[in-house]
Amino acid sequence: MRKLFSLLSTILVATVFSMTSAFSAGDEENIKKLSSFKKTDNPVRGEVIEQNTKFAENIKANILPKIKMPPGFKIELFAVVPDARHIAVGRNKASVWIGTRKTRVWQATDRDMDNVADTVEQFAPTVSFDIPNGPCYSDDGHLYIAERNRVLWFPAAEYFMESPDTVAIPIIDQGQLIPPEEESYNHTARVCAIGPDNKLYVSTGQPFNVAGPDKYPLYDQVPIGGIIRFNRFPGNLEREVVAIGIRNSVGHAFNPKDGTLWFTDNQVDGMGDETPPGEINKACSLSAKTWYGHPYYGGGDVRTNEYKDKKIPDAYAKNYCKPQIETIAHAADLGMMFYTGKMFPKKYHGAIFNAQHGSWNAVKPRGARIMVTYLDSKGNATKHEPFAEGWMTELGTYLGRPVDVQQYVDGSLLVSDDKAGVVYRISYDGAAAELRDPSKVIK
Amino acid sequence: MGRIEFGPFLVRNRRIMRNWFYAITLLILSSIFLNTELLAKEHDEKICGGGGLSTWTKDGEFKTVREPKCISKAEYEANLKSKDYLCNYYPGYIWKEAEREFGKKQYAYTEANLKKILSLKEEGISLCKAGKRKDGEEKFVEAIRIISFTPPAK
Repeated sequence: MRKLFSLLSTILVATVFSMTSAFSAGDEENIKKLSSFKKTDNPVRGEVIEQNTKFAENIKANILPKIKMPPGFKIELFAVVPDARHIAVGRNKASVWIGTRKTRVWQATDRDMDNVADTVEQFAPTVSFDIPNGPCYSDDGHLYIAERNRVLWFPAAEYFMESPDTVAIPIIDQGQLIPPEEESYNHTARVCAIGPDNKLYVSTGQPFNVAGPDKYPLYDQVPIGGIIRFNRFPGNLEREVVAIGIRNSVGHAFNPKDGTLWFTDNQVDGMGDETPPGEINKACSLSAKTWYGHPYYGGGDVRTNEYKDKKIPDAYAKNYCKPQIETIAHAADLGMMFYTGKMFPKKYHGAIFNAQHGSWNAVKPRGARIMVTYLDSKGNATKHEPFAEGWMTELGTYLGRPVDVQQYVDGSLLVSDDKAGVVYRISYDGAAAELRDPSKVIK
Repeated sequence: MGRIEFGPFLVRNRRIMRNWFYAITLLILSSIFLNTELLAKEHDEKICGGGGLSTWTKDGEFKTVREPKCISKAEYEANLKSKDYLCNYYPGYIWKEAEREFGKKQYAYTEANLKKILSLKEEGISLCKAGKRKDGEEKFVEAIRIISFTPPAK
């Protein structure tokens, strides 16, 4: 009861706050009403994506058999979701929200609990989203969506999701995540995660290949090319910069064992087909000074051509945090997560899974797979290897392009694919693995 | 059926010795064959980049409808290690970002910027052709610096 009262009070305060704030161009009136628990004047039925189609059958017949994984693992189609990007998994209803780089957020729900989504519907159709790439879900039942230049809060999303009018409250108003004049089409897919300090963390990629010197110190102050954190409810956000010098991170997660922040970072183009490496980073500390290399380093310890003759400023050099893992160049490491489930074998417990989207311009095709990174007892990365691959043909054609990987309610993995427009589910069956292990075949 | 000394081994039977000889010969031949196969496979391994496209037929065949540009793995590795690699790589990157229509549209280039980029590219190509690779690469890098620092188009 106290919790309910607390939630209602917070929403009330937020409502008053949000009514005095700026809103996204085009949906100001709707957001104003939705954040006041009122219905909009133009409730529209959200788009529904048919699941039992020829398209779904083609995915099952043509893509799934191509995916190679260790023995015992199985990949299935979870849902048909156009433009599927980052994923947030709900708490009680097996609901899954999937962002896009367009204007839609989808909700996929397994209504008969057979681990396949029965309905895929447009989420919050009366909100005008702008690149709503990054949904994240809190343990206490709140959904957040990070857009190009706004962060929205959807309290009790698992309840309100069945209605076209969904309570939606801006945490960061339109145009307040970064200065509007810095908005771009490039590197604007935001992601979010809730930290062990109960704050919301949002990444802000910078829009250049390599940012010019004229962009600093602005980019470090906002930051653009960094990560910020702030309180999860409107009011005094206590917004802080916790990382700078990141080129374009489109995936981050907290290690549940020690609370450290990890993130992927896509690195510089135009230096060669096999250089510089991509990165998986572990935050050395959460501060506005902790620097991850951009624009002086292009990835790993490779200096960018643009800054190779320039001395790295002392303020950066003293606070430089090197990557934990250098991944293959131009593979585009995106969404990542720590495995906390029990379904997979022990070797995967506590490991990082991440999606490699694949290159857009390298001569030699690469990526389009799921990687796994193992950690040692001190929480540092040891080995990094492919876990699921086959979305790239030998002729360099993408069958699919994995974007994000998140743990589903039963400990299986959900993988989004924005090329095929689907979400896959990868599960493990120990008995099947034993049957395939030649040493355990009964003779 | 007498005893035969074979190095440190004592072989009691000629037939056993002959079988051993056949087995070892077979082992050596198969090892040579496998290694040659592996080398040939690696040599023949294709690296196929852009341009190719395949689609599924109704019969479940993944059919190539447009042939990709492929090179052998050996060619790819040799190109990466070549002294001319950057002299060949940079002009292609500049073309993609500042000459190709789609590339040009991505950035808020000024006419002066574009002119400068193309002139640096041409200078770079001439220097590379004249064997002055490092000087040529510097020209390309100067052009790429302009591309990198140009804001994305609004």
